[in-house]
Amino acid sequence: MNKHHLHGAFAVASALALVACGSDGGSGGTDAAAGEAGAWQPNRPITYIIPYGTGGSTDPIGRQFASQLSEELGVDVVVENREGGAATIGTTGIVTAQPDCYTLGLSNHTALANQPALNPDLPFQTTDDYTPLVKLGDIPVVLAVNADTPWQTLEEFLAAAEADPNGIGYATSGAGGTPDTAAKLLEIRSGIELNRVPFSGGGGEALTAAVSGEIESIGTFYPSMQGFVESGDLRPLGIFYDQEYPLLPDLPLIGEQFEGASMPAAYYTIAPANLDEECRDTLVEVSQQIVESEEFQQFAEENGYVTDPIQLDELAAEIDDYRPVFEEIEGSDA
Amino acid sequence: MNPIEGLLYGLELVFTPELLLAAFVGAAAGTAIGVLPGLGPVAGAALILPLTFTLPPAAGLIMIAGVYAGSMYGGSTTSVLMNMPGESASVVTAIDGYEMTRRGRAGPALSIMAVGSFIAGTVAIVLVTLMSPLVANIALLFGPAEYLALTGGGLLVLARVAGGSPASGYFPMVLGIMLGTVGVEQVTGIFRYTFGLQDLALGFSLVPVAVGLYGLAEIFLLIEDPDRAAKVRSVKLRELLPSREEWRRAWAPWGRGSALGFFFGLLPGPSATLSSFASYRLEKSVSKHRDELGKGAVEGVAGPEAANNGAAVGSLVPLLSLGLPFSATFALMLAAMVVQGIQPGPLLIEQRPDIFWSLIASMYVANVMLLVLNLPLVGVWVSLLRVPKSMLMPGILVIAVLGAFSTRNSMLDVWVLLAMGVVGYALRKLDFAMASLIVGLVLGPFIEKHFREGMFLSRGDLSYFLDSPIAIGIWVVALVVMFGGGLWRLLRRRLIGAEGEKVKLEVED
Amino acid sequence: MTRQSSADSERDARSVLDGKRRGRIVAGGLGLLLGLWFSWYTWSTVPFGTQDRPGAGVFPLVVGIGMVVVSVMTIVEALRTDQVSGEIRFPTGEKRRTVLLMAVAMVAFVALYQFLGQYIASSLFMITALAALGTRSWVRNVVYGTAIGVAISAFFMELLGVRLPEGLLGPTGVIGGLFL
Repeated sequence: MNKHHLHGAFAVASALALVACGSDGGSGGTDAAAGEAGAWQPNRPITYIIPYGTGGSTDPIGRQFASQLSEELGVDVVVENREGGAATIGTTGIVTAQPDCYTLGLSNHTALANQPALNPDLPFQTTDDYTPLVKLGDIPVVLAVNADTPWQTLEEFLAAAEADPNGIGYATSGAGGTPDTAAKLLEIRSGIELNRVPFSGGGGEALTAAVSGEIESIGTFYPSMQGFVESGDLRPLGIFYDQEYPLLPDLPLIGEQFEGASMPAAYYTIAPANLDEECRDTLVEVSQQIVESEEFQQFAEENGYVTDPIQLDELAAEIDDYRPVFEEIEGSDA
Repeated sequence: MNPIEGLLYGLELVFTPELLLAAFVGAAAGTAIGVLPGLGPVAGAALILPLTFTLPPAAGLIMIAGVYAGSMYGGSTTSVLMNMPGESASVVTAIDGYEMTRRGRAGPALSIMAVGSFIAGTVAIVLVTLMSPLVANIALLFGPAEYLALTGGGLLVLARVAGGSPASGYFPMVLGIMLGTVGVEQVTGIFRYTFGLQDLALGFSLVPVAVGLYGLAEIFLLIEDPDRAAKVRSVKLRELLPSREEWRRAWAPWGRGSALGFFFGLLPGPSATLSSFASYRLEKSVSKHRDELGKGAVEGVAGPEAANNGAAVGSLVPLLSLGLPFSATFALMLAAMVVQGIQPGPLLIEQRPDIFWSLIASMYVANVMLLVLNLPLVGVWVSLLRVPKSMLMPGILVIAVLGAFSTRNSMLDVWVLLAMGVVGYALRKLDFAMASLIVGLVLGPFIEKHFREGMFLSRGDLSYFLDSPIAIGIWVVALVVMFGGGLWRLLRRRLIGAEGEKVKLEVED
Repeated sequence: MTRQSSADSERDARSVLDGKRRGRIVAGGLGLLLGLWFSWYTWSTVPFGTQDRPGAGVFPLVVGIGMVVVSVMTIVEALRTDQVSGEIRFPTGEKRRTVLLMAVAMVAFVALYQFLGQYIASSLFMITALAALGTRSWVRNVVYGTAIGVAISAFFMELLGVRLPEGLLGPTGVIGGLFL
């Protein structure tokens, strides 16, 4: 720490104040936690890039991880939101950062498994181009209909959709988003055809349209529709997922009924490739501890995530498994 | 609990020293952030958000409400003092506000803004209290057809909001719409006009465009012509407060702007911006002094400022009753609520009336704090104009650059700022109306989005857009506003004969 | 070109194409080129979809054509009416030097922003700007410029915690790197 005195006046101020006002608020009691985990000990703030806008629906899970990372490592973790380009801008920022363990960030399955096929210029074509540190969790898409529609069960809905191709409207938060891809996958597997209407505006407009009855059905994440389900405006019919979803244990799993029609949004923490072994091992260890921690589990439960802290090769395998699925979906468009 | 009991209950909850302090800190921080060019409500709320996580729920939310109200006010302050809007809702305030400053009436303009914001907050609170059960679901009546009518009709009405010849309005407006098409297209996510630049995928963000177009251009005009600069005679109290005449002229626009803003606030979309422009347009149609608008009229400051504050309070209704944040700042507010374990939604008013009403009350308290804070500060802001120009101007340029950079951590935004400075300089030299460019940039993407959503939804049936009484109603109003004034004058001229009215080639308004 | 078209103007008293009208004709011409290019580019590269599902090209094409229309409108308005007229005044002599110097300093500031970092770039810019706008005392300019540049930077980066480029002083920069 003495070295700081050699700095020019502003560099000292800069270092001190970054420590003092690093944005995450999670810095209480950091000294106590310092040095607990692993051999590598960071000596300056770590940047955690979130490839979405501040306050967006995906921002909180990244911030939760970053704040716990700060507690575990005993340094500040500064969240930097770099939105846009279907999360590719932020992901590019992580992948191309210095592999010094001081920059990591959030990414997801579409950015990592689908976007490289669409855009060969992206610097993350295979899982070797980055370090897949840990999977934070899945959040499955729930299919719901407006309460005034006649369909009470998934079977009735699918039968109606089959009888009237392109006749039932399905609202999504945007083409290419997970709710849209999930429905495409269902269409491929089941042979039905929905009129998928991409709304934007963070999913709020899709929800408004479904609640007001402007459109018959909607696919979105449960926490955002929960209020309307409880108020009786929307009726959930099924989940685009193949494992039990604790928030809605009684709903049919579309991913079970139709082989492979499971498409949750999956979030990972990744870092640049070729990390120094010592710091990589520390990050791997710490990030697993975080996802398994009671605090993170509680956050996941409240926000509709299903956690599964797979890491490195296992995580790389999951990302690679998504590639053919996305190719199939893209192929069906042509 | 009925609405009036609810509001009283909410105020009772909020009037504790701790919460008042939170509101004050929020309003102060918001004003300070808003005054800095390039940093607006979103940046302000994002900066303060992590801090609020450590506070009790009510204090955290009230602080964000304070930041929001404060930064809107702060953004308008720079509009008035330096012709540099801090965010899009302040663009229209710059037109007459800056003219007032150049005539040495900066103090009155700021006082009128502060009082107007407060009055709008009060009016909107009364409206929320009386009408919240009625208006809670108004957003549900609006689908793509109605939004298209609102944004498309808005574009037609507002194209020439700043006056001038027809080409002066339409040319920059279409340019603005064109800028708005750059980036990832919103409905299907296709990249267009990005030319391989990753950063361009996000499109042109409003802050660097507005700050470049107005602020940068203004500074270069000041450098070449120092006589342009605002005259600051003194910061004596009498000079800072509006004259009796100015007070009198502000009342009606305050009232109209407040109500207009409130109703725009109930609807999703860029309600604060849209309502400030609409209020200016309204003043141009109905004000007794409409001829002075654009030349430093009190009405041009009072109306829009009341409107954007009314919209801020109005926006709380869909946020709380539907759980739908219709703007970035409100998304942050929603994030804060969720962190505090409050999930807004259709059942909030019934299940947690305490939270609903204390939030409404906190918005009000934030408004009161703003007034308490900012009236005394008017003198301070005005004396900013006395800082030597050779220091003030480059200082502002530095802040504009870092503000542009910080919104999205993108160097591209800084280059956009520069390019827009050049465009603004050229447009200004040629007397084009820059407010129209902002109107196009704000509304263009909404028009495209709602049009295409509607086409998808109706499976290609164009008649869908005129299938709803609300949509038809909005289009009719837009057409009446666009052509009504002209027809009326034509009619009157027929009836009374051409009375010394200046004959112009184009029908005005 | 403009001289010929002035002859077409109907009211001889107002037929002088002054600076602003000429300028607006040029602006309209540029807008026309932009509109044509934009429409062509949209037509040839952006998907149009179907009537049921209109693609990303439909609206921009309308906008491109709209640009052509308003550009023509601007040119015609400038040619045939004098609603907007007057001479455009550009600075001369000393003032022109100041404006150009400031413009160059501004571009350099932006170009070097990320490399130098917020502190250094803004201080250098302030020094240059003070020299261009203010007095000729270099000592004063350097002291004031550095003070203002550092104060603004510190306010944002340290007090408000805004993330800005650290450049040379950052952990990966030439100067900052020495001290890690």
